[in-house]
Amino acid sequence: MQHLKQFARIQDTALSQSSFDEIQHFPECGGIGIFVGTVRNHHEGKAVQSLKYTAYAPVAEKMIRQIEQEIQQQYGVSYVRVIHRIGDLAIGETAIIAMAYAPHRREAFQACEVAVERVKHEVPVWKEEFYCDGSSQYVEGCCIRKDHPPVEVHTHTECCNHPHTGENAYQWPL
Amino acid sequence: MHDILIQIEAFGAVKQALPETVQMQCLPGTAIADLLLQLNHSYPAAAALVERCACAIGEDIVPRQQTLQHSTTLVLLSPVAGG
Repeated sequence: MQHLKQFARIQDTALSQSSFDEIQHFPECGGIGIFVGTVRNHHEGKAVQSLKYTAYAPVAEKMIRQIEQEIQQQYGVSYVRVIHRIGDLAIGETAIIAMAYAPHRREAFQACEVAVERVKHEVPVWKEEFYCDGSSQYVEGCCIRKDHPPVEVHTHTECCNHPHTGENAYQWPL
Repeated sequence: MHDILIQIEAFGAVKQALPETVQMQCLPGTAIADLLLQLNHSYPAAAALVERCACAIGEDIVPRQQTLQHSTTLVLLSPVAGG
């Protein structure tokens, strides 16, 4: 059994692709899907100066690992990992990295995109934007409450453009 | 029967609608839903935000039907927006 790197999925220091395992550990793989999400300087017409990410780490760590495992099985890929940054981030800093290794490119792209979407929409992480005009607000997010009827259908543009109808609703492609 | 002490820890938008520290007392066996009604009564401005929160204890998301048997921290998870 191979020994893979152990690392936190929620980190409060600058993210690095060196945290992930090397593709050489997976000789059956011929494709790498990588997504690196960075902080941009605008949101819905407002100039953004910086962001602050917070997380409830006990649940976030557990959920990201579950998501990784589910996607590996669902898409038949060898390796899926996601790391999310928390703390104060300046424009251009990396907020999230997702990595997927698969035998072929299509599965690698799929797994990587689904991992990002599910972490964005399901994991307890919050983004507070600080604008250049001195104001700030939490970005409207996805309700993860599961103990009431899932009647909510929303189309907020920042977080997602799809209706949320139940657990693990995201499928690739949209 | 002695009351138990429940500390409320809030994340995301609901954090701005509640004081930094919220502690509540209830009887063992109280449902989370009933405790949150009590919370909404004390902080009505937060009620709409609390309604959209998932609840967690430790590393588990818990349904509001679950009862509280011991003193603990109940975590309120606002709608999420990572990435």
